[in-house]
Amino acid sequence: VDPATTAAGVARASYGKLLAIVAAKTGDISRAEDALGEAFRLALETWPKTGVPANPEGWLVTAAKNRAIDIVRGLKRAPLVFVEELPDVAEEQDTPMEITDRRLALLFVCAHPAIDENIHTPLMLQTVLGFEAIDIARCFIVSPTALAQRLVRAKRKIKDARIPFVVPDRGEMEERLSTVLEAIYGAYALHWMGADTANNLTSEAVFLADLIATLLPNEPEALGLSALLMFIVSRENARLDNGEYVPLDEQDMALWDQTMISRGKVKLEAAAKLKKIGRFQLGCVVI
Amino acid sequence: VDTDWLQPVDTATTVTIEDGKRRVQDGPFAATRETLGGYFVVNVPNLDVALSWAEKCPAAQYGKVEVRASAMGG
Repeated sequence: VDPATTAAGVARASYGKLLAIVAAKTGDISRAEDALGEAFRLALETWPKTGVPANPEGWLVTAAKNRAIDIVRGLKRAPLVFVEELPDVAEEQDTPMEITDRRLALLFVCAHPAIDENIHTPLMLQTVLGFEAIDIARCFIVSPTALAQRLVRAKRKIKDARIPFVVPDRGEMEERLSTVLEAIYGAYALHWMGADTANNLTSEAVFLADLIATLLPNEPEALGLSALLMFIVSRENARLDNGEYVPLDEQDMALWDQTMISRGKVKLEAAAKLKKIGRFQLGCVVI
Repeated sequence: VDTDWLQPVDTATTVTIEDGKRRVQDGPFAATRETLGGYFVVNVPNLDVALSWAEKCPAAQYGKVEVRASAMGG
């Protein structure tokens, strides 16, 4: 496989996972973004010569961690030797399970109550999904400069106030989870309210909700939100007729996405088994 | 006797108790009618632990507790 294509593929599929790992080590998202950017640049330089490593994600994480350390030390450029050291370190750590856990912690950091709630959703979009500030700004109809400043400020606060990269314990889970779910729901609602369809966040919101429901299979509301978004999205094609909203009972059911509906049903049934009702589960019943 | 250098004010978090429930907000206490009434120094690993101590402070019941990290490191 062409190394550049592999690097681009890993970048798309794993950005959030990799950023979560690197940021968790340092508590500093901005520095992790810089380091990860450098790691991808290094991969594009190195892989065409050495071949794609067996564990590309591990390679990138190791390169980014080394780079993050170099940035702390104030080095302008990484020493050349560290490229040689990479492969062995990459093989032995960062199993897929660890990668999964860190991304969940990153979601909780983005929606921490000590962070302004208006920036929760943009932070998630940027850090977990790798969106550019300029694209997020378009979705939120705000100036890119203003949004970029608020994102920088939020990341500085996370670092300087020392918000920990952890998944809250049982006692705090309910309250903390609800802010995460709100932020994900916000990403979807933004689209529904008529934001430019070319930049819609639908699939991203569905992805994030599905992710958190998968990572927290015993949280009924996480499952509930995931189900709710799947049900809503399943009717995406039937929702509008020549720009006019079509009431539910007049919608052409043939346009509904049956795969999405059955995926939603699986989530909702799993939620119901946990026997704890909440607003997102109720939402599924109402729609 | 004692001095410290705090992280910038835009990294502050404010804690207050409303109806027995903890309310956490981004930012310092803002209203000009409010003034600094005292301070505690706690040695904790992160913001979450600091917030749980702030919540226990009696002042959180009737006023606001602003949580700021020290910029002195350590």
